[in-house]
Amino acid sequence: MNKLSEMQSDALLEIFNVGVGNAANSMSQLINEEIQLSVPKLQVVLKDHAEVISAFIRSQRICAVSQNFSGPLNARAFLVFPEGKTHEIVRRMLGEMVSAEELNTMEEEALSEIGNIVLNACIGSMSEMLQADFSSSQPFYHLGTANSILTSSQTDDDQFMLLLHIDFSMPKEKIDGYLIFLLSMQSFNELIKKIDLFLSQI
Amino acid sequence: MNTLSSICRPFSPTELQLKACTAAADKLNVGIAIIDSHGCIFFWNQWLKEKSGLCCDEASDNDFLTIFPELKNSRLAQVISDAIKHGLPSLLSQSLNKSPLPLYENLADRSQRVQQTIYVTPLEFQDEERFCLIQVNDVSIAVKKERLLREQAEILRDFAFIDSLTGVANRRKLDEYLADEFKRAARSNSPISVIMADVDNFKQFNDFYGHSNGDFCLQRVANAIKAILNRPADLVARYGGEEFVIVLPDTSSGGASVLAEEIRSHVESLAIPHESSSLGSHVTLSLGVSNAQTYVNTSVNKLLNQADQALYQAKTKGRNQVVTFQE
Repeated sequence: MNKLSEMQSDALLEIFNVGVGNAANSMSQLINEEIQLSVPKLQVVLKDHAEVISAFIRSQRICAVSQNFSGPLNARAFLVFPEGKTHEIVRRMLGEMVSAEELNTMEEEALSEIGNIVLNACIGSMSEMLQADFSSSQPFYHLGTANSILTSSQTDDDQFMLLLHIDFSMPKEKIDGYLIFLLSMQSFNELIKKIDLFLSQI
Repeated sequence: MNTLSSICRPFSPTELQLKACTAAADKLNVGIAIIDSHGCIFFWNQWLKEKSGLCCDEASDNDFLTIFPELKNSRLAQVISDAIKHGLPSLLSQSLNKSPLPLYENLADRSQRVQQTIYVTPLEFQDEERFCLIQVNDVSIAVKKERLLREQAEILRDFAFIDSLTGVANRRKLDEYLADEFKRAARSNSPISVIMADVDNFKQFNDFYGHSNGDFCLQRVANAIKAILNRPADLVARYGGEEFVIVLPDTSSGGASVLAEEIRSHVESLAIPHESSSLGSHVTLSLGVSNAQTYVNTSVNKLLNQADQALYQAKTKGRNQVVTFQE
């Protein structure tokens, strides 16, 4: 079984939309500017996803913030943006010039915090709605090709990739990013079980 | 035997080990605080004591938010609660959170807080309530260094676009600026003009007065051109040897010709001696003007070529004059 039914997929989308909605609130408070986040689309992709990755992320290089989380199911979660777009987000959030080259350490940390807010909110929402307790690592910042980042932090067990489009809207600006969850077969099945339980209770 | 496995055995440290851990926590060069599940300070290390002025007795067993009332409803308070209630770790970056904790390098001078990066991590004990670890890193030096680096980078970037002899823009800046302004003019369908100016008989000037006087002459001409331009969007650049290019956004052909004539007469009035000139006894300029008004079949190169052709005509017609390119 490697597919989600429409019901399951809708339930997951709802969970993530609640999560990123909370994240948007936290971020808006942090920078005193309205930010809206939504997750309009979800796909499940099988392990051999190298081609898919290059197809959906056109930019060669990406910036990503990752957190590992564990509990009833284990996953590596990533918030991903094309490299150039990251600069726009950081520039808007810090309200200052960001050099055209690489982000400096302080800017990397700011982006890690943004990723941390979004990923925590998603994990929090999953934990609440699926009634599961998760523990998680601190956020980690990556810069490189999508392939190298996603495959380097992948173990042989991770056979599934949950791919979510995330819309990052700030006044006068809209940035597309991705939320990616890498899961083992076992964790994927556990996720489906939890979703079914959630669906049976509503 | 104290093998690795016995050290890492889950929680039955000897009293001595506990003492060692506390002593180590007090020697760390980062701030370490532990908050219990009720939001009270459970541990507050030496580093935090020194930077906050808050000693252990005051800190221990006291509600974190009672001790730091300014943090009520703050992001730090929120993430501590996230860690204790939901087991979520958080990072508070220095850039997005301006020094949340009142920590000072020198307690006598409280005008400036230590710049902080804060990690908040849940601490799980088996079958016990969840605590929360706060780690505070002082990033003041890193912030200062990065600000310096950025300032230096900006200065270097500016230098990379300046002609070192005359202090006006160099060829690289001209290429970039003209391309940008040309695109902008085409988008908004507004006119853009270019003036190409050349010092008359400059080779003879150099031969007669020597190169250092030649350099001085170019500096005076560059300053004279700059003095005539008074709109911020106008740009003068050294194009090569004794040639200058002036970019005039939002300027018609007529306006550019008037300006070119002003420049010509201003340079003439400087009366820089030029005894070997074929034209008289002073330094003069020849200028060619070109303009783009409609953006069909035109380009930056064409605009520059047309100014160059007009300049050539000014030279052949006897120098010390302005010629505007006509199709």
